[in-house]
Amino acid sequence: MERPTDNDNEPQLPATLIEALKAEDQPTALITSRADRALEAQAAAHFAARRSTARDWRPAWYAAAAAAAVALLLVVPREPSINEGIGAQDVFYADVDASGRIDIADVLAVARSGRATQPDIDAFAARVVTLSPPGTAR
Amino acid sequence: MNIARLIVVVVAALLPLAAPAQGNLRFTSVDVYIDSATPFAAWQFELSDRGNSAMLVVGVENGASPAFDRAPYYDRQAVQTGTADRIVVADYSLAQAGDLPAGRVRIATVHLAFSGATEPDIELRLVTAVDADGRVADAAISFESPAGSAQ
Repeated sequence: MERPTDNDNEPQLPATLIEALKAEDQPTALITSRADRALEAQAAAHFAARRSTARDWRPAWYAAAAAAAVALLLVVPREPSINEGIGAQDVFYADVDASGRIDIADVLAVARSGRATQPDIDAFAARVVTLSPPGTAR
Repeated sequence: MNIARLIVVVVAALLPLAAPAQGNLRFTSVDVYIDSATPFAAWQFELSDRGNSAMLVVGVENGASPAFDRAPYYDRQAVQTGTADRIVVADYSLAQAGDLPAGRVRIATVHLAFSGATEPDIELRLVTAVDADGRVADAAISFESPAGSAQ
């Protein structure tokens, strides 16, 4: 009577599984440097073709974005700052009260009318008190 | 060596004469008043020097009335660049008629620098003072300086 061995108690794999695992356990296929260079050249050619296609679109996209930016600058009004008020708000710089002189009384009239923003009023007043001769850039 | 010492002594003696004019620069301030029987809502004046004191305006501040509680309008760039040998000062108020000042009111203080031998001969002119409706107020303008001179 043979003595039982440890192997007798181990689970047995199905034969089909054994055969499949043997088929996977094959030596790795070697790629020669010549084959490797050929594959690299083909890949480079493939992606170069894709890059040239993308580059053709960029100028048009850039032009469209630039045109949109210019359109926005022209259409959207800027809030004038007080620093650029002098010379820029001629609409309000006038002898409003017909006194024969443009002075702070005209500024008061414009301010009381509610037609002007505070920056407009400040710019008007700045022109009234400027020491520069008319038409002189400061 | 004696010549070198002589040169040093001569240069040292002449240095005070070559000192810049800023050493003679003096400062003063002028309180400007409007005296009006009716409440006024806007005012404007011009201040200059009739003399030759080389006066420059170096600052402007608001006066005592709560209706004009912000800094008045004046040519800030000229003052900041040291080119304001005269000044035009003005302000307006949108306060209610009952809150506008009347009587003798300090409307501004003008700070001056001068380097001449004499103090500035201040010339002050009221350009306009109007009430809340824009009507010209019957007002007079005057000034006082710490040195006691007044007009």
